[in-house]
Amino acid sequence: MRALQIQRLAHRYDATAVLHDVDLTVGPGEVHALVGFNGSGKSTLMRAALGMIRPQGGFVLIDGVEVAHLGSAGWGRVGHLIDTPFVYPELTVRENLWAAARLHGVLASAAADHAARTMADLELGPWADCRASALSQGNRQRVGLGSALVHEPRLLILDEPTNALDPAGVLLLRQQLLARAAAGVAALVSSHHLDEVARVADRVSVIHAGTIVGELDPHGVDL
Amino acid sequence: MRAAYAVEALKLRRSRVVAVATVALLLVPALLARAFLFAGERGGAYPMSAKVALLLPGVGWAGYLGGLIQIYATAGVVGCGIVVGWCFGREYADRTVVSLYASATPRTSVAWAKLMLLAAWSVAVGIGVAAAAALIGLASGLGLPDAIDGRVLGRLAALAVLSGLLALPVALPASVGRGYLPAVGGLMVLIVAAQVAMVAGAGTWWPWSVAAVWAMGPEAGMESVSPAWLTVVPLVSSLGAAATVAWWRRAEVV
Repeated sequence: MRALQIQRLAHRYDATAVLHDVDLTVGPGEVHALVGFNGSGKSTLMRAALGMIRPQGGFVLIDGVEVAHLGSAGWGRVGHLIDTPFVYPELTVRENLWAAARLHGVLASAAADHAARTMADLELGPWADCRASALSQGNRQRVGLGSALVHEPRLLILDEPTNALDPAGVLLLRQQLLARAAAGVAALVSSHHLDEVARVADRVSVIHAGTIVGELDPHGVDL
Repeated sequence: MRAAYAVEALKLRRSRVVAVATVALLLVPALLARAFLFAGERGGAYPMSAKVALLLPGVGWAGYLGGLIQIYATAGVVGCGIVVGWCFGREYADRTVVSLYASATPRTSVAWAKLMLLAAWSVAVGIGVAAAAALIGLASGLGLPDAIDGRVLGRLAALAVLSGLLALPVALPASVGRGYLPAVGGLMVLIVAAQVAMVAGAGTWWPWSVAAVWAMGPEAGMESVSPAWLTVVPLVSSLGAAATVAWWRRAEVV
């Protein structure tokens, strides 16, 4: 079964068609990259995949269940970073990750351990007890990534996750993605930098003007 | 649901907005009322003394508590409304609301947790306002309050709790307008409408006026209000809460 299946997806904002006839799948253990220019429809596609908007056509299935009917347990297997990192400035890094873990369904008794492990994975230890308001933008992005990963989801949807990350942060993200994919996690990752995602992706789909216009071989000589 | 309460409680505990509003609500109206009483008792030809003497319903504890109830009738809704507007509006202004979608904890649980915790905070602040008012009165030389003053203190506590409940519907403009500014606008509408209702003679039934009219009582020249009428306050508060939760269930990310 596909972790994520999108078929004939269509959406409009007023008179403007932002998605039409989009088909896309992500299987377990697969990193599927979505590349396209600004305004090509990447973020709208990801929002529709996560039930943040109700598309006017087509459907999205997560683990075979339509997103409108996905329950708490189903959403607990999904992690995402869309738009802005999930970071509350008044909370410390540790508290932010604990909060994300709890909201994503991790039991109270295990949430602190999940947060500590995520801080280690993303090398956030030195800032563990700093308020997020004091963090650099790059470290806020790392906390946002941590919030998407802290509950060990089986499907990851990340919209331009390298935003604001320094080269070390980008390397960490790549390692995390590859390690999780090796453990069977499905990932849909968007970027407008083809070279960036080609390093980790198993498949690369190109989106333009709201539709998938083709696939690229991430291991091809041109990439 | 338990996770939503735990996370929202942590956010409220760590918030400077909530801390500042709590201290301000506990101290500022009571200190202002005590200062007004000082001015009123000083008498003489000072313009402020003359104005304050007209506003306060008496001297001593009666004047102090009467003035405090008049101040808190507006300040309470404003102070609590700012906290409610911040609590909901910040999720949109900071864009953290996006991450509340596609989560094991439904957004409706998060919205309910916010509303229930804000209601509990209002009750705590309401009790605290009466306690702080009593301490400030005692410490500033008003002596021990008698049984009638004790009943007025009880009315002050009730008004403070009801003011918090009356501010809960501010969550709706904060959510629909997706930010702080619509919350402030909604709050201003509530305050102005309450003043208009008082002038128009609707203060004894308009939800955002009735608690103040009841708490001030006939000794401040207000019409008598049956305590049963106060049930309109939790009613409008519940309606506002239900509408807010319905919005959180249906709203899409924009």
